[in-house]
Amino acid sequence: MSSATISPTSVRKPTYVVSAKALLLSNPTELWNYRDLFFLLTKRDLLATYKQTVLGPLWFFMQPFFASLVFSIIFGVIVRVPTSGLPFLVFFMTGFITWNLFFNCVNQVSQTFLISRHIFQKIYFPRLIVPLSQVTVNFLNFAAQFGVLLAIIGFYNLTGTHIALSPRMIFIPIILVCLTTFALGLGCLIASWTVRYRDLHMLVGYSLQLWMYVSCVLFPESIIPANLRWLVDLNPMAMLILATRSCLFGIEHYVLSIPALLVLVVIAIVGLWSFARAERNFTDTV
Amino acid sequence: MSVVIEAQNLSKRFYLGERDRTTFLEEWTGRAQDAVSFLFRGRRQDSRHASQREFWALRDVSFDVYQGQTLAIIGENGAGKSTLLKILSRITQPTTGEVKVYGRLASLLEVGSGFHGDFSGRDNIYLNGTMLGLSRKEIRGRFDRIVEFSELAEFIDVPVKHYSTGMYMRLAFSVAVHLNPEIVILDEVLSVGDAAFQKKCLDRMTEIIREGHAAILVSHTMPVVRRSSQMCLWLSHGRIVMFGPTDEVVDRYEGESAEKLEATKGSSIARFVSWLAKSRSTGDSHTVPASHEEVTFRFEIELTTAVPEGQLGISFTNAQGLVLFSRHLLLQESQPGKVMVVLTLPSLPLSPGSYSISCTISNGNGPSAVIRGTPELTVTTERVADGPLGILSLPGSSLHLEKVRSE
Repeated sequence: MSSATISPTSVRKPTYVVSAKALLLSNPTELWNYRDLFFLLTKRDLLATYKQTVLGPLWFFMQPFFASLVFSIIFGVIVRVPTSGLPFLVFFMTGFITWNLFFNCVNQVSQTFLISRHIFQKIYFPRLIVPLSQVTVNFLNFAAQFGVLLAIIGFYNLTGTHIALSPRMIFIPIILVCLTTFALGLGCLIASWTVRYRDLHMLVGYSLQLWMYVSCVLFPESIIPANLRWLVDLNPMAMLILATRSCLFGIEHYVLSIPALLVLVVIAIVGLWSFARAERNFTDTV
Repeated sequence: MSVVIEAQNLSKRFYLGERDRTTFLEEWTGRAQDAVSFLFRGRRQDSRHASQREFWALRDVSFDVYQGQTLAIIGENGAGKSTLLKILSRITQPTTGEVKVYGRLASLLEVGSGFHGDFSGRDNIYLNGTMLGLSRKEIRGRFDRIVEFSELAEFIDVPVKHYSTGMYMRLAFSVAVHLNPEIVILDEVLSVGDAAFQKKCLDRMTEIIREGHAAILVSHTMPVVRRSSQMCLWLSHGRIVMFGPTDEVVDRYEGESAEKLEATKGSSIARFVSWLAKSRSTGDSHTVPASHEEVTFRFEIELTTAVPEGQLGISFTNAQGLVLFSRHLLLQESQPGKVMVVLTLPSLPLSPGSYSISCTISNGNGPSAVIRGTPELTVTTERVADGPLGILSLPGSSLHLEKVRSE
């Protein structure tokens, strides 16, 4: 045996170690090694939604547009929600696409283990890649919808209805980072629970819909009665949606709520942690 | 020689049966109770699995695999083989112990996972490849070889949902065998389309092993184990029975299996004593030629208990488990003792190969029990070269060409 080419075991570093004592199945730095998988999954999911549909990518613009139109009729024309001087369509669409980004992320990420279990049971890769790519896909869809929103605003301005955009718009990326992090964390938290409670995702769908009605998506902060303020103060989504409208149009001077921010950070950390814990043994229960 | 897999004290525990706490409320009140009892009585308890049965799929399994070595894992079903492979490939975490893996590990257990039907073969090669740990650049480098190996060049831009199962598996295997892994996990049960492609895959794997990489082979076929592995790990009920050079381990394994078989030869009602097949052209034997001659089978069966009234059945099964023929007869009240069951067939139109004959007996209105010690019948044919394939061989059948008058 030639000893020149083979280094002693003690010097070599194992490619990986599977240990009962390890807190996590995968080392977080490993995510980087799988970046190509992340890109391809993102590309796949983006393309998959457009394949074999008549209108293709148009769906993504139509859906929030029509939903906002319906909201405009119900809440704008019939209920007459004050919109701080904005046209109903613009007001509702801003809230709705932002909420939709959150809703879709949480909804999809929370089903990670259920949907990908056949792959997870057979191939190892850092499981977090899947939620990360789902969030990215939703973010890109949001970006497209945001473009449509800007086009609609432009259209209003051209036809004589003046809508001013605020220079505070530059803070919107920060808001979106907070929003997607929160959605990822919450989705991961629910995903790690669905490993044990299969029907949980049904509940998630309904709860999220209810949540929308307390998150200032369809009404401004000003109409919230004082005794229900805590709903907004503790609710990261209300904070983020108000902040989006505030930064975009300079209306509704909303201050950051520290309790809501705390809720956001705690849920994000706990969520990612539970996910990492759940991925170690989920194949035993699913 | 350098080690590529170091496994130490691997154990894996599962809980069997219904979980006590299936709702959120139960879960968290239960956890709160545990916490309270810990705080006040200082006793640490975990009542989560109180009514569930503990089951150790693996218990204290330690072994090493060195570079260039093939390790075979043997043991009956449920011995813990697949749990061990799942731990090695990082699908699940062990309950105790740890395993260090040096190098990329590829397993042929996982082929075809992660394919997406709406996408072309090309897209799926990239997706599957990155999932298995390659970079896009690495896949680009071996893309042509993968396509060539799969023999699917003309379909590579067709969505895989339009592929046949065979094509789908071929593509999946082609990706798997081109991972250039340092360690290969091979399961005997490969179902890759046609036999020729299966052989191609196995050849490629053997080539990888021959290049000096390590391999883990899971197999139930002892000749294969003897031929291809140097070390052998014998598992039973999650524990190591024996770990050592293949020949020693397999010798003992086969010895013990034979003993076990002997012990279970007869059911409680009856047992086989002997059997014969007789045709005019051959004498008495267990081998008969496929022919249109009459064949007589004589089975000597010993009844160990009295049978009030029941049924006795004889059936022929081929190697794939397909029942080809079966007949039943009514048993009158019978006393313990030997009986001779005689079956006469006007001809034996089976293609050459080995068949098992099983005999079932039912005691009164109870379910029928299989009489153990299945006889193996070998059917031969004189001219194998142009012999017909398939289940049936119809003696006297002919195939020839006829000229067609041209216009």
